[in-house]
Amino acid sequence: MMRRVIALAWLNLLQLSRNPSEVVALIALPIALTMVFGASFAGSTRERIWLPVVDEDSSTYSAQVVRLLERERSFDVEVVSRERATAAVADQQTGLAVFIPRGFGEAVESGDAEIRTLSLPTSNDAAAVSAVVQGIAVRMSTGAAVAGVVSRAIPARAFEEAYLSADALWEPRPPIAVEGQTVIASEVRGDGVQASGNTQSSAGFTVFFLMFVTFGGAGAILEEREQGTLRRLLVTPTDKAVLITGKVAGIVMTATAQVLVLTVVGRVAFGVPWGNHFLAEAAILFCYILAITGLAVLVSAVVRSRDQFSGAGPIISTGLAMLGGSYWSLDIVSPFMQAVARATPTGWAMIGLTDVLARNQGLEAVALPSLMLLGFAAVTLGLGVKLLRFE
Amino acid sequence: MRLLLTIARKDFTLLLRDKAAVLVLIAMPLALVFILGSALGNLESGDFGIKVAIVNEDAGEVGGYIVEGLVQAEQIEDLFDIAVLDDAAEARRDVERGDLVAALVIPGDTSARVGARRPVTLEVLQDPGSPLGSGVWVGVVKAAVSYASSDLVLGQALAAELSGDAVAPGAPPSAPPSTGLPERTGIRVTNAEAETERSVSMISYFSAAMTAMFLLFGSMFGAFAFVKERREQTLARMLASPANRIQIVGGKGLGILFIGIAQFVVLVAGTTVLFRVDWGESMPAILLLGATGALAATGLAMTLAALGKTERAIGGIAPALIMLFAATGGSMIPVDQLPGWLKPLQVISPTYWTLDGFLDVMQGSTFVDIAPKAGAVALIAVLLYAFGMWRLSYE
Repeated sequence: MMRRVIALAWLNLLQLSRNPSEVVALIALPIALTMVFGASFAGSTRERIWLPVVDEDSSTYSAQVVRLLERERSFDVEVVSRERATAAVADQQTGLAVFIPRGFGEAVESGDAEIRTLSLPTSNDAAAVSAVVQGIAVRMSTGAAVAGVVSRAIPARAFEEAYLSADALWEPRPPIAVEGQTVIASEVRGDGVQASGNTQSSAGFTVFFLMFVTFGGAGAILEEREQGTLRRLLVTPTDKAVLITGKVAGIVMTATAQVLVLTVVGRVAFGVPWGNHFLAEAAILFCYILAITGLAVLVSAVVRSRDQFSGAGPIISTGLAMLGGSYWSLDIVSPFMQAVARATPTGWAMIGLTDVLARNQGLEAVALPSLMLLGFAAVTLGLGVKLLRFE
Repeated sequence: MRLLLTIARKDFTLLLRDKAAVLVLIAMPLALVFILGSALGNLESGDFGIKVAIVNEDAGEVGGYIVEGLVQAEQIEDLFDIAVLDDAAEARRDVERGDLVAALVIPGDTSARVGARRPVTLEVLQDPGSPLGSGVWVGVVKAAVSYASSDLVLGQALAAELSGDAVAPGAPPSAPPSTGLPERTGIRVTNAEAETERSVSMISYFSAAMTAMFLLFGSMFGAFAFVKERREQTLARMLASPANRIQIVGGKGLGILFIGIAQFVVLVAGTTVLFRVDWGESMPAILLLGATGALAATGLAMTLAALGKTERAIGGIAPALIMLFAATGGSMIPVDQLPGWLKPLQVISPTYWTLDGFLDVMQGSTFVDIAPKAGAVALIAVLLYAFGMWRLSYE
């Protein structure tokens, strides 16, 4: 019996290996998407935000705005013309541009100056840059307020001198500063190194693309049913239980092979700490593969045709990936949607993987997610096998 | 032409007979937009409830002011669920486990250092598993504290200037710093959204993005139909009929185009009714973009049918290609956030041009304005179609 199960599982791998384009797609794409999402979201590894700044005033004060923006390590500031900055935002080359209008310096001295920004409403970068610009405005307003009072009280004291004197109090550090520090369970990791910024996207796309492999495998069952080979297999000395076990084992083997490649590439190419807690990662990923294999088998049992299956597969996968936090970290969704994530296999996989990879937790962190996934696998596989038709 | 239309009608009728497949094609993308709207709807309402904490170890007044300012700030009450804790070690453990997204720790010597006019640094412990939420909390704390710094600088500088003396180290601050989020009006920051007649909300953006992406998923059905007919030899049999290859492939393409347009109409109508998405005032422009997007799906179906010998192979290649087009085109992340090295590659993504066109129309562009973008999609469609025709095996 075992030999037959292995032979059927091996067949699944062979079928996949005969389609090099499919293999490339299942391996290369998650890697490419990890790069794209990692570079877009990951704080530590993403490129600096290109920030066009228009200085139409060329005064001491406008130069200070530019200088303070340039001090932000996450910005790549470039002084450009108004036309270029406007076009850059309109063309979505950047989320925000800063404009310092003509007369800004005089307006600072009269106490009514304005820094203008032009932003894309959908840009997350714009919000981050705006906060920095707002901070600069607070600092400069303080200097201007001091200089205004002083220059009125002591006419001999020039506004600019009083301003610069007050502004110097922000250097080298403001009176009260804030520093963010990423906390990890360094006593376990021992090196105190922060998890790579690609961690979320690497884990997310591994979780996401595993669904394509399992749905592809379950689709092959459907294809065999449509071609009548499943029926033919049943006239051999192979019973249904062996057949199903072999098919499921084949899907699990293929998914495991994909996980191995993706995690090794994630570690070597993107610095994601895959493998630091091998047992915990293996446990959660194995349970997840079982769960989504069950889901794929269930869907293949419920639908009537390959057309229906191929329509439903990508949408179920994409929907679950969105709900479970594969695309974006669950910390930005509402508490209700965080609860919804806990009803999905992708959600539990991401919870477990985030604990292990980003938070450096061990086996204990994946116990609950693994159990939930096993429960999900038991229900979906049980239902799927029961409903699966061979003819 | 009659042959071409007959083949197209045949494919379309075959699909219509499979009611469940029609439901999947039409209802599932709508379900996905619904999921997306539910998942990201809070980005607009600001209702996050991000769990953060403040640990005030400062025995003096300044720490208390900072806590009070943050806890009572109305602007952030929906954004954060703020707990005030006593024990920094406990807060650190909670952050490590991900039970807290971030925790602000106000050191015990904060008031003493402020009184001595020595800089003090507050620490925000951030959960590495919640980079976005913890980053937002750092930003809010920085903003609040910059106002406190502003008050301190104001007091020190005025005292020094008006008394004519340098500020003596160790002298107490003239007034406790404020830590709410008041306006500083000397220099204002005013923001204008990109020069458009209307702004695009997050749900509108992702509705357009998902529509542009799902138009391409229609290509899978077309490619499957090809493979099935090739396997069952009906393609070869059709070649023996008076229909030539162009008529056969064209007719099948037309069938896919019909499906794509039907999907598109349902998605636009559904998002308008369900999420009140404003697709702009130029419906002809939106329809043109939808039609060229569906045309791109048709071309992609030909390419897929040429590349994949079996349904299984297409099932692997198609989602991969479509996701890549979608990711580079801005369907998953707004285009301005994509890395710079990727942007030159966007020109080959039909999703990029379609989405860009949708957003333009939403922001007030007309049929003429977006015609070049629709033309770019049509060109990609033709290239994909030509490649498919070139490489397609009929037997």
